Amino acid sequence: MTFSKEKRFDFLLCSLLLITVVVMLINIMTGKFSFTLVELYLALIGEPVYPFHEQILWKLRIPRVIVAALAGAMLGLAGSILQSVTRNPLAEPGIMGVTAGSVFFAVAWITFVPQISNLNFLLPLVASLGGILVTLCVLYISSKARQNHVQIALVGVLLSSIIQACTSFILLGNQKAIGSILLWIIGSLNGRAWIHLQALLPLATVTIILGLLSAGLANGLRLGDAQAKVLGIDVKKARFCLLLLASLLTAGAVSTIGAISFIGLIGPHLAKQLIGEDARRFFPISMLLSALLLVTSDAIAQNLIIYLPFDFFSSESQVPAGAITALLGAPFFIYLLKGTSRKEIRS
Amino acid sequence: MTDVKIEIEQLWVSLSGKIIIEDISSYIQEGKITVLLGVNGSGKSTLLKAISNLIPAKSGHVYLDGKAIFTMPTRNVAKKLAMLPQTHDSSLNLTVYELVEQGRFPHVGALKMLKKQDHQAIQHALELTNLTHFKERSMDELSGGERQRAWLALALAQSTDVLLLDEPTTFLDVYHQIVLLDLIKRLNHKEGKTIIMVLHDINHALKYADDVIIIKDRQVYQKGNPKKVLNERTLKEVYGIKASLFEDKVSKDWVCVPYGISDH
Repeated sequence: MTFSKEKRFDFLLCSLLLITVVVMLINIMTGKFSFTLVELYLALIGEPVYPFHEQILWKLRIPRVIVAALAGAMLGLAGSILQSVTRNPLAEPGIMGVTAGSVFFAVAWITFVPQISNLNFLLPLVASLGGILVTLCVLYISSKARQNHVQIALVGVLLSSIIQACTSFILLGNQKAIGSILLWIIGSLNGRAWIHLQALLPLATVTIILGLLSAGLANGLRLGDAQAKVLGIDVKKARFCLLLLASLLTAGAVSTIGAISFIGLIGPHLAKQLIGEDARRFFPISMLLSALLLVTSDAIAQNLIIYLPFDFFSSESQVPAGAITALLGAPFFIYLLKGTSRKEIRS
Repeated sequence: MTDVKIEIEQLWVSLSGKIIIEDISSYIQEGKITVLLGVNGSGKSTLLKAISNLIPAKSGHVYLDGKAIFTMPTRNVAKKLAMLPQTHDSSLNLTVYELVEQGRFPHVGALKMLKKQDHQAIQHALELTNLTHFKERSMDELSGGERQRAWLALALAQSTDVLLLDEPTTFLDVYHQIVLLDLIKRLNHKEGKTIIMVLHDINHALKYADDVIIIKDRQVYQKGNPKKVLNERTLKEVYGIKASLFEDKVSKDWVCVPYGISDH
């Protein structure tokens, strides 16, 4: 506690980076097939013990773990931007309707467009577009009404549930594809490869840089509309840009790995407890924590089949990471909320 | 005679279709403390917000140093005029220093705000508000009085000539009310700041104001030296109360003691 904020931030940044790299390595090494450290090293330098080591590593494990880290970071940044801008500690990336929109468009695409395998790369694009479209609707509707931060969240939640209902209708009519669609709704990293990373990387780079650069504005908005205006910020414009940015971040992540829950809520929440709400430090820490959480959840998901002797898991099916984030995330969040309410009573 | 700092010219303001300020023309003197008085809903807070460009005017002008505020870029206004809004989020997880840093926004802009701000105005603001030792403390751990001083320090870090305060004493106990008002008086005397504030307490207005503007029915009822303007008749007509005013022997201040509702 005697550390200054800057020192604490540097310490957190370094240690989180280190932990994330370690967990990424564990994620790469374990799964249906586990590497030893020596095998991993030999495969990485191009002299694998068996040729399939290199295949698994470069074609499956490495792109997958990078996608997980990147998508986690995007969700964490989106969540922290939304929590600052809406001044709502429970705001999460889905609050603007992005998640529901992305899922709906993905499900509609899977159902109504004949599946040709070399068009697979279009799915994330379609899902992103859907997510952005719904966000724009939310922003448009709330701008017609008197725009304030509570109303935007409300419009987002309402529109989301309408769209989720539509998704359910499509699902009822298309029970054959329900398996692959379900993975979308839960969120999973299975089979994510370089092609997904290539699709995600440009959007991720641009939005993450813009997100981190927006910390100054986000700090102003966090102080409340009146105070932000008095400081010379064009509140409506700044809020619109930041909400759109958060939606782009979410759309990118959701369209690549599906509607992973809780990461974009817990990451920012933990970050706030560790470093406070100054966006200059809050945003990067939240990004790193969320990336770490998703990579960890995915590592658990990959190993769960092997160590749990459930008969009903066929050897082919893998637990989706989204199931882990929900399973571990929800109780953890309840624990966090209990902790904060106790602190509030005491002070 | 002192110079006019702010001039208000035929100002009309309406909120959701209802007229709140009707054709107000007035002025604020440079380097003085001006207090806006009036009953709830009289439009005094609205007038303060219109002066600071927080809410748009329907018509009319406000001039700051002779320049029209409504057409000035908002960041330029923020370099000359700071305001302490009435309510703030009390669950802010920022340190006092991080909060006060935000006051530099109008001077450096959004991108340079990414760096740590160490302008001497921040140190000065912390010293004036007596918060130097609190600067690493989190806002949500402070008491109401300390918190209000931290928000005031943010406004001071803007280093403006003019400071607007919207009922700054509302949620404070008597002790912290006096601490804050004495601080505001010091800012006016030592730093030469022009101060405009909305107050409810007539005794505070009598003690701290150089000039009062009394708003009644959307218009200026009276403006002038508080000891002259605030008398039994004014209090009856504006607030509808019976009150007696006299000079207190101990403090040598004029005090107002309300003792009933006036029967018209």
